[in-house]
Amino acid sequence: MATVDKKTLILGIVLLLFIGISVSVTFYRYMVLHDYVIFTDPEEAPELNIANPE
Amino acid sequence: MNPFDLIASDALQCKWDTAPFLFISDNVFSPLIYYSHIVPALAGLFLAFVVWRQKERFLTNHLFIFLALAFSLWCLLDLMLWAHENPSVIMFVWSSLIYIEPAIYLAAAYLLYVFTVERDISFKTKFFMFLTMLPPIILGPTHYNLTAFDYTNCDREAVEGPLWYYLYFLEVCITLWMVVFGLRTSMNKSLSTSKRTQVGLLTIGLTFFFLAFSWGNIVGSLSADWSVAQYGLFGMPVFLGAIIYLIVRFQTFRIRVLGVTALVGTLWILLFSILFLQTIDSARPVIVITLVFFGLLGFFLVRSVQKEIQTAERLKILTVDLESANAQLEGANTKLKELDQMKSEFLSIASHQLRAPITAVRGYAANINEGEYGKVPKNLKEPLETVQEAARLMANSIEDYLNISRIEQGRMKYEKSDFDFADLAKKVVHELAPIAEKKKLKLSANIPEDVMITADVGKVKQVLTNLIDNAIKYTTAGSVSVMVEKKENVARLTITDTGVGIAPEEIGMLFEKFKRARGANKVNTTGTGLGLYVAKQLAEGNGGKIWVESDGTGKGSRFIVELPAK
Repeated sequence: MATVDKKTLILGIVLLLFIGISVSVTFYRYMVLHDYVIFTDPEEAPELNIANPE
Repeated sequence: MNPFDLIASDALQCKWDTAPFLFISDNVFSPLIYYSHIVPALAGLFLAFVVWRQKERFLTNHLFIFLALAFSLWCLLDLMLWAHENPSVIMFVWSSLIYIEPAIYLAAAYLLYVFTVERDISFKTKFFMFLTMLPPIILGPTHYNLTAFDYTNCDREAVEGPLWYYLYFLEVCITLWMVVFGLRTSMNKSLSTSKRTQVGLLTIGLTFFFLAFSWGNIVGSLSADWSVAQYGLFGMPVFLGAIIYLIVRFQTFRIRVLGVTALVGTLWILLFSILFLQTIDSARPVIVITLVFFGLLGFFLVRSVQKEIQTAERLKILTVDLESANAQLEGANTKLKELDQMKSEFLSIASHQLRAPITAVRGYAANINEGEYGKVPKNLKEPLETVQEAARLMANSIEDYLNISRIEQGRMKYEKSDFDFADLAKKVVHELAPIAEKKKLKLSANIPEDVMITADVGKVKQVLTNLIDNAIKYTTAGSVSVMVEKKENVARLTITDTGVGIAPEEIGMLFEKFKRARGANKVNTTGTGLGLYVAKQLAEGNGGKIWVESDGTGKGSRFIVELPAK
């Protein structure tokens, strides 16, 4: 059965690093800056609420 | 507008409960949500734990642990989405799922491949998998992931961006690949039936799980009715069942059955306790079905564990017995070696003690018979000859015992010198001629002049005496002929008799110690089964070889001895 080689290890670390950075940015954007659009008007997003039109 | 201001104003007057423990709140209106999320999450965590506890670290085990943990995390995060009331938390948790979902699918495909092919994928494939993860990584924090938070109703949902369509496309592709790859492998007749069954089961488990999972998420996303997605997680018990069956039946992931039984037992208790949650009234039938399913699985596992324990106990007892028998055997072996050594020493001493008196008996009997002490009356002639013959046989036997004793103690010494083998053969034939004559056998010799060899003359004489004497002993009527010839580098002596012959199955063991041909006792009662053994040892000690040929019982035999010629 195969074991983890050096190249794979580096690729895995890079992947985890990228994901870590991406998640951190997302966290900062949503949890700290609260930077997101809020649809309040049903007219604004007519494609939504198909199942729950209220 | 700041989202907190918006919530504070409570424009829609949503009656959201707070979720202090992240997962528990009245916001979870759909009763099956807890069941469909908590059970798979805990099942995943337990399975990951059980596999992680194994000492052996295989790539399949690593991949399985990763898959189980990633899936459990997904379930818990998704449950948070159902329970939480804070839009910022919902936006963050929802956007985080974009990293976990593709990782789950890629890990499952990776696991299926490694499990099937039993080797790692190439680095190129790994890099390709890395590339498929890049869009979620790069676009995850942007509006391509989540466009907005939908506050047009009280459902607390995010609006998914185009990145999710990429994800769903990827999920469908990977699921289809797994189905095709798994089916193709399980139908590959060059693989063993066991392997094909294992791959087939894993494929069915994974396909069921992922089809249900993808279908739930995709329909939820397209219809914006996320309550559908809860059913998508029902593929998990099927997957779990397949994995547990693989573990028990085929020892996949090298997990002890006992560990899996504990896992199933824990899940059963957990499910049972969920029954008493207040919010799951309508989900009770589903839980009861799952309980029955896990109950059956538990029964099957307990039986397997019992068998495993019984086998282990039996093996333990057998091992102890074997060890004790081994010790006894070793003791007996040592004792036997000591006894063998003592026997050889005794044989040597006793033979030496016997040789002197028997030589005297032989000598004086011969002298009396030849009239050296006066004329021998006629009626004493026959008894004297009998004494002489008996003494000769006894002397031969003693010589054999002494030789065996020397051979076994490694004390046999060969004093080699050049001598005429033909001359020696003639002497032995001459010495044994009276015995043949007495038995009314024709003893003929075809011996040329001057066949020089280098060997221990005493030992070679013993060999020839044993072989010719043997031929005379086992021939009741007919003839014994001795022929000597020189062939390239060897001097060969062939003794052909018309005696009892040897059965083919006995030829191989005739030169072994104490072995005699079947029925030999009827012809010669004084044989010990040592003469041929000694002859073979002595011939080989002189660098020669000895063998016998016979056309079968009653058809005579040919003893051939070859010694290196000078």
